[in-house]
Amino acid sequence: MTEDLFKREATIIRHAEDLAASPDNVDNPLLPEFQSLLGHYMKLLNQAKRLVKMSDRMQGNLNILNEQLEHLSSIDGLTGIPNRRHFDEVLETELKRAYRDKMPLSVIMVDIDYFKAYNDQYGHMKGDKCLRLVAQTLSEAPKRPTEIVGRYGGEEFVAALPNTGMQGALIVAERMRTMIQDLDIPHESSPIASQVTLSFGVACETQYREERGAESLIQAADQMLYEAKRLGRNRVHPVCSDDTP
Amino acid sequence: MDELYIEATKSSPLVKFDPKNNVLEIVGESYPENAVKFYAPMFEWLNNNLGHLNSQPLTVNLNVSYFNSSSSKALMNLFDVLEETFQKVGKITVNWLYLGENETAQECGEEFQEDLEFLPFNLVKIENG
Repeated sequence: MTEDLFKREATIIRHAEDLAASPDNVDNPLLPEFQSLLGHYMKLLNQAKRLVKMSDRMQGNLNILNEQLEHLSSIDGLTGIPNRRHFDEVLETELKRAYRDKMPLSVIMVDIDYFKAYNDQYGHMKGDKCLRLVAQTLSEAPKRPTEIVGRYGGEEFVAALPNTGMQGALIVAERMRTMIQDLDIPHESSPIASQVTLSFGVACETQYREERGAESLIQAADQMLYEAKRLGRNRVHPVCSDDTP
Repeated sequence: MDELYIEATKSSPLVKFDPKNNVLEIVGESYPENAVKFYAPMFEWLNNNLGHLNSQPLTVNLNVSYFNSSSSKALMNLFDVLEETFQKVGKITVNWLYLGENETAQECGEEFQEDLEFLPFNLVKIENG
């Protein structure tokens, strides 16, 4: 690699060597000086090659560290799933794509029911364990690689489903709800069930409506989540019906 | 020989000469904003003192785990000066210390070592701690 990189220098050396070896120059009084300078040039060139090699090596290490940092800064430390910062980035990108391709995109906001009561009864260690389990399970619900589930904060999670309309998103949310219920994590202080349950709010950006942007879409899903809570929790809102676009 | 002491900072190593034991040390990471300026006092010291190497041999210990490109050029300049003196009067040994797990520091030490013809240049692996 370095040989190709320093092709020009190699040509210069060959030229200088030819000059030094030429019979025309045998008696030139500057010949010893010329050969000494050529020697210095070759030594410095070798050093330059080593410097490039070392520099590449050091930079390679920095690049690896950079990637690790990048990864760490996109992951939620407790649950190991994407954090809000990373989720927001992905949502922005996917939403732009959806607008461009005139495809729908759905967002699901998720909240653990009576999580404060859970923490109060079982303690924060168990609370953290519950968050991890819920996060891992929710992450397993999406089927397509472009779908992402992140921790939005506290006991709130969020999913973005590109190319998925309201019908599809409601099905995914319902699947998530069932998966968590089937985990059967005991929750004695919940007034609505004997195990940990979740509420879901779903909002969809479709090609039929004007573009709302990520923030409004999240807000719309949050509003639906609020409704799901108001209607008794452990449910998906809006309710799946065939006339939803 | 005179004393030399440059305190380490986050981006520059400790540079120190102990006249009692005749040991020159460079320890730390080296990516100063201006490597020429940072190493200038060391080269000045070398210039003033290498002429008076006393009967005790000079040991140069380097433990530089990370360095930027201009620092590596400065180190090469250092080794060139040392090699030149070694060819005249001998009595100089360089030790390149690196942590066992730091392959990059080891490989860079090897590059420096291969670049030298006469100067004794040892690669010394040290354990973590």
